[in-house]
Amino acid sequence: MSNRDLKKIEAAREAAAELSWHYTSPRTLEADLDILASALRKLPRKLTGIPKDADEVFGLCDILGQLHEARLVSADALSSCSDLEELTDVADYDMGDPEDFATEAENHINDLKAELEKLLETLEAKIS
Amino acid sequence: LKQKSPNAKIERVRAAVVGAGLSWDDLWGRAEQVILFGSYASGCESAQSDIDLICVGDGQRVASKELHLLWVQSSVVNDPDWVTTEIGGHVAQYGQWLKGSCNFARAKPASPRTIARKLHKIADRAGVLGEKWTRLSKPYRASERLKLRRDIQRLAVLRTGRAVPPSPVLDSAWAKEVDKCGWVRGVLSTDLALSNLAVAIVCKYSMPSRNLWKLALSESLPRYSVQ
Repeated sequence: MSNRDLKKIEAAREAAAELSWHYTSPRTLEADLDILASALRKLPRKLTGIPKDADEVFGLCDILGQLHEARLVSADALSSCSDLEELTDVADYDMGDPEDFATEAENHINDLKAELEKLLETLEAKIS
Repeated sequence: LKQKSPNAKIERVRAAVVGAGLSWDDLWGRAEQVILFGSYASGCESAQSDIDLICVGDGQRVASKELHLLWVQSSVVNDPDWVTTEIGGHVAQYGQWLKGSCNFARAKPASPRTIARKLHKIADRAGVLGEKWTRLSKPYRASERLKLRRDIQRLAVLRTGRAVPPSPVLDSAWAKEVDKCGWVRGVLSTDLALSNLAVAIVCKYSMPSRNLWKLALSESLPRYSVQ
């Protein structure tokens, strides 16, 4: 078991845990998703199959797509990510209510967090 | 501006809708009005431009790299105040009706609420960027910096009482601006903390100091809060 790999998993867990349940700001949610993407990108490549050139290129949904191809996350994780991406994208038109945004985002965030927890447990089991 | 025939535009839009996995016939049948806006409507699109579409009625929204599709209730677009919002004013000025016809007033000056919402958005984006700067990826920082700069430009346009133009027009104006930092300072001159933060991000592309983003989040943001 590599301590370095475990630290990367722990960093990803912390980034996932930092996702709040209630976002009224699409900008904050988007930024937290970017931070999460960076943490997932750093997970041990030998376990995730994420290519080296993914650095600074792929967004969260692309990374989850890679993890889905490696059978490490379900299609639900991808779908939650796409829904969140779409929600923040559309919110940029500034037509909606912040509380409606928060309510709509909440379920997708919950689903994504649950999927990520399963992923990180799987990775931990693989290296132990 | 490039001029394209209405049929060519409809074909381009149809391809983007189908590419997003939607049924064109369903969308066309369901929408009371189909309005193209943004760069494609103005003929200033580039190869990277997405298609921005508003459909009046009920349907599934889409935000992909190729297509931004919003559904808006007819009660919203028929409200006389809609043209005083940022998007309503833009659509009234630049929109092209692919189905139905424009039945609302031409663009009116933005309402104070619209201006406050824009300032709120700018303060929020700048504050969040400042707060999380060191942990954000470089591509994300660059993309948010671009959005922040365009929002400041949109604010400046809204204050003049005009409708905001499509993004390529803003980008072209920015490229020609000689004193970029001075211009940003001027637009945000009523809020020194926000102005300093925006200059750090947009012009200098440097890590904003803790003091700057904290002020933006704790003082500027609440100041522009609107219900």
